[in-house]
Amino acid sequence: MEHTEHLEHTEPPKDMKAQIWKTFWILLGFTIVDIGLYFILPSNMGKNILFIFLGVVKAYFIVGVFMHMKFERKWLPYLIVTPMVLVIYLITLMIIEGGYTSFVR
Amino acid sequence: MSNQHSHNDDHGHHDAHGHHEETFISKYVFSMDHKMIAKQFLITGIIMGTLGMAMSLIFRLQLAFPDMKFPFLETILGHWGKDGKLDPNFYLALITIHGTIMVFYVLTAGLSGTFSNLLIPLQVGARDMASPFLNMLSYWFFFMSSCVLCVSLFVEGGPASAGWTVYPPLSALPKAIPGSGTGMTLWLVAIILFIASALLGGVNYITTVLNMRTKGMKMTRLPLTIWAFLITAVLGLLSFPVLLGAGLLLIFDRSFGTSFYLADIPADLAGGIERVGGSPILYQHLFWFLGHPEVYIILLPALGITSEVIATQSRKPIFGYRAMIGSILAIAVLSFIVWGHHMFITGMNPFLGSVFVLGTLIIAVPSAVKTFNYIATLWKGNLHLTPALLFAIGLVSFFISGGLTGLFLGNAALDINLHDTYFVVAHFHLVMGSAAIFGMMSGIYHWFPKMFGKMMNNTLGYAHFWLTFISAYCVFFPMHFMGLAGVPRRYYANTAYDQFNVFVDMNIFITIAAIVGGIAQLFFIYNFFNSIIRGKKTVQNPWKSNTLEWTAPVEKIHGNWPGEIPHVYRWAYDYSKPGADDDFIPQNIPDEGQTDPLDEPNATVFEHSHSHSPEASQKEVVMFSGLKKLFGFAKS
Amino acid sequence: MSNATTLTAEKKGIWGGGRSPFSVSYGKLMMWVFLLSDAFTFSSLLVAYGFIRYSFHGNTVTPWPSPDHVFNHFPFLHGMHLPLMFVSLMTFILIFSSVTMVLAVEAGHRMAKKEVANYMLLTILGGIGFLSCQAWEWTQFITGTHEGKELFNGIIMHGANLHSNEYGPTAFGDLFFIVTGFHGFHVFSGVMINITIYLNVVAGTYEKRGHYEMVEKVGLYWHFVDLVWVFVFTFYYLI
Ligand code: HEM
Ligand SMILES: [Cu+2]
Repeated sequence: MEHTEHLEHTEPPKDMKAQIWKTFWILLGFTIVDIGLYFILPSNMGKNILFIFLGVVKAYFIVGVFMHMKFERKWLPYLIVTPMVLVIYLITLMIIEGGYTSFVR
Repeated sequence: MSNQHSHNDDHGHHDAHGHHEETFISKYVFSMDHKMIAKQFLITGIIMGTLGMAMSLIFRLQLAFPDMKFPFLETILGHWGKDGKLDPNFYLALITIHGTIMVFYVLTAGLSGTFSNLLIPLQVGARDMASPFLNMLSYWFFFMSSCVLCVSLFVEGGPASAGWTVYPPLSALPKAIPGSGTGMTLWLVAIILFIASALLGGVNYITTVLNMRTKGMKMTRLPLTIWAFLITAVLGLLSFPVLLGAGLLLIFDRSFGTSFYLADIPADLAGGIERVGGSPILYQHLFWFLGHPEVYIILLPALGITSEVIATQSRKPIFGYRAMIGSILAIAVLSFIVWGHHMFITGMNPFLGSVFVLGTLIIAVPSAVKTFNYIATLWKGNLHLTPALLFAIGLVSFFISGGLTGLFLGNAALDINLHDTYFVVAHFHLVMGSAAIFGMMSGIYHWFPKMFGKMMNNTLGYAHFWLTFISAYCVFFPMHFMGLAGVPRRYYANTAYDQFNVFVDMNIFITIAAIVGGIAQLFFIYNFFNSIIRGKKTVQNPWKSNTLEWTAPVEKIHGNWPGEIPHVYRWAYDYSKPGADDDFIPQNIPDEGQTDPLDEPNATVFEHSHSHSPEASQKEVVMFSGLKKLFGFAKS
Repeated sequence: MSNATTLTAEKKGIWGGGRSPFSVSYGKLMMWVFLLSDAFTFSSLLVAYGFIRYSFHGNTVTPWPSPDHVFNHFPFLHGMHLPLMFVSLMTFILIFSSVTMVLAVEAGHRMAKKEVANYMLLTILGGIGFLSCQAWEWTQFITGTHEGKELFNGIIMHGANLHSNEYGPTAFGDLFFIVTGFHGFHVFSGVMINITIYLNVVAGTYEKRGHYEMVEKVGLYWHFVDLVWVFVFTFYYLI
């Protein structure tokens, strides 16, 4: 029977529950930091980049722990995360293009 | 989703295949068997293709004889062909629907849908797709989408008429031209259904190839067809969602008064609401982020089929197996970063233009690697010139002639002249239209015995090939000259421009060639259906091929193989191996003493395996090793 | 191919066929691949947002509004200027429902039916809570302020619709509706799927099947919805 694959899965770590709660506090912490920074820092490009960076960090924790990616075989993360480079390329170009649109208007 | 799971359990029953009670409906209509779904895709594709072809003949007649009247047009088109004259608005509608049908319905669903479904489970050694149920849904979404598109031909105002790329504002303002109304709405609905179908299919193909290969089927032993289908599915999976997003915004612009894509359109033109703040360029970017990968979604499966057919029918291992995989991967990555070459002169940031020029020109490198490898595989092969091989060689020819003009177009400065002229039409019809259709035909002739258990008629096949090959070149080659002279595409008639009068005869010639090409397809359609009914019964492995699908019995059974799935001990290209009894060794044959499918069969013989005849000249060996060095990563 | 033999036996096995190279079932792999494509759908909407927002750069006639002048309400606290507070609450609800979801998955590994059911129920409640908050937020956005804004044709505009809004450029409202709407649609379908799975859990379907993988799969989807919200929050409310 070739569908034995069904029995395979990567084991979650022993202290999964503890990790989940730790991640929850981290996410909460980052969200509070976000809001704090929003009021403290002056609006500029650096602040935006900081927010995006914090967003990516949060995403890392959600995908890594909640979605179990940290505990999967290394090829799965490669498969899923590498294509995101294309999104970054697209977004970068479109932001440049949007700026150019405002310039020619 | 709960269905998905119940299928899991269904798989368990495959061992007991043959014991299901199958009704007509579950066997032929809502079938979950990948072989039947493949046939459904193919036949729907052929029907849509016939429709698209018929449309092209109608507008070719208009281009060749702009002043003549054809009473039969009124018979078939009704008020769109009043007094035998094609209505200009309907001309636009025809080219739009022709493009849409050919690009999406025939060459995406009809090609990759058919062959991915047929070959992925059979060639990787699986009982069926990962999720047969989603696979069935994929077909039925495609079917619904085809129906919606066909219905749109009959609505008031005619079908969508903004070109197959449906740029706003023509597509975003329902009142812009007659075809911007209901027809356009239905076009968008059809495309969204199509995207659903493509995504369901793609998810399935990827999962099946990655997860369900039989024992011993390493990624480096996969036939190149499967590599091509896998990467095609990845391209679709990453690019179709962007079109979905673009389409969603377009629907909102059309129907709910938003202005994502509209800038500075006063209220009286825009249905009572002033539209400001959007940008049509945004749509173009989103569209072409799908659009360019899409052309490779079309081409890659055709190239994969060609690799398989050329290696089998010239009885030689494919030249540069790893280089082939490498170039597929390179094409896949590059195809995502060059979409802007379709927009050089639409008002895009010129700085981005230069980025896109660079990427575009680099794409030529992996494309060239592929062509050289095909030629090297054919070279001094023991060619069995079946219709399948002829069509495969035809693909290589078209790919070269069309690819070269891509290099012209990829230079932003030249494109100022060439954009939206017949030069572009010639380019993409050769490289995408003709080449991919030829790949599809090659696949049909090659795998027809597998699909229907019958052989096709060879004589009709040869007639089909030569007529199509010659007429395709006669149709598209002259267009280059028209394009260089500046004849714009998508124009109803060029009679108003004196400088284009020199092309009157050429237009007539092209139309006649197109009609010949159309007639040639009738040969194929007759041959196809006639062979299904009356064809000669086939043997299990008519082409003496190595891949796994030919180890399955001719009778189609649910689950593909009676008993155990074969294990794989070697790559798919052990043709004409010195010292072997036959000139082919199927993938499931172990070498002497080899018990573990993961062991390599006696590897040293590969050094010489590419020369078919034992007395291959010294010169040949030198040339091959030179080529190998050139590509570095050729199969060692 | 001969150099492949140098690979270790263990590595050789992973991609050698007859098994999943990732050690995940096909259903889970499929879910991952689907989520990847869905991420691209959301990205395309966010790309549209980035493009349009940047095309308003330096526009002084209709400048892009600052979020804290638009999203500054909180239920029962009328007239107070509380920027970002409500959306932070929404974020908290969604993250918390993600936690209960992953706890359900964890309980599923232990085959603890009762726990799975309870955590699923909490997740569903979280989802409904989020959707209700979003409904309130939309209502605020659509009703707008008392003062409103005078458009150039002299009409006073209150709140927002798809054609115009009092806060700033039309595109601001359009993008808000489409981005949060598409996300809300995902939350809604997630809740529906979760309810189905919850009923199955209670009915003991997975207990009989011997594993709770289905819960893992919908869990992936649910976390993805949370993930998208992180970016919607970042791009729409913070930047
Ligand atoms: C050597 C590789 C290639 C290069 C450098 C290239 C370059 C280009 C460029 C620059 C254009 C835009 C021309 C214009 O609109 O002014 C174009 C159009 C097009 N190309 Fe290619 N191309 C290549 C290969 C392909 C392939 C392999 C396909 C399909 C399988 C393809 C299909 C198309 C299509 C469909 C269009 C026209 C779309 C439209 O405007 O309706 N190209 N190509
Ligand atoms: Cu292109």
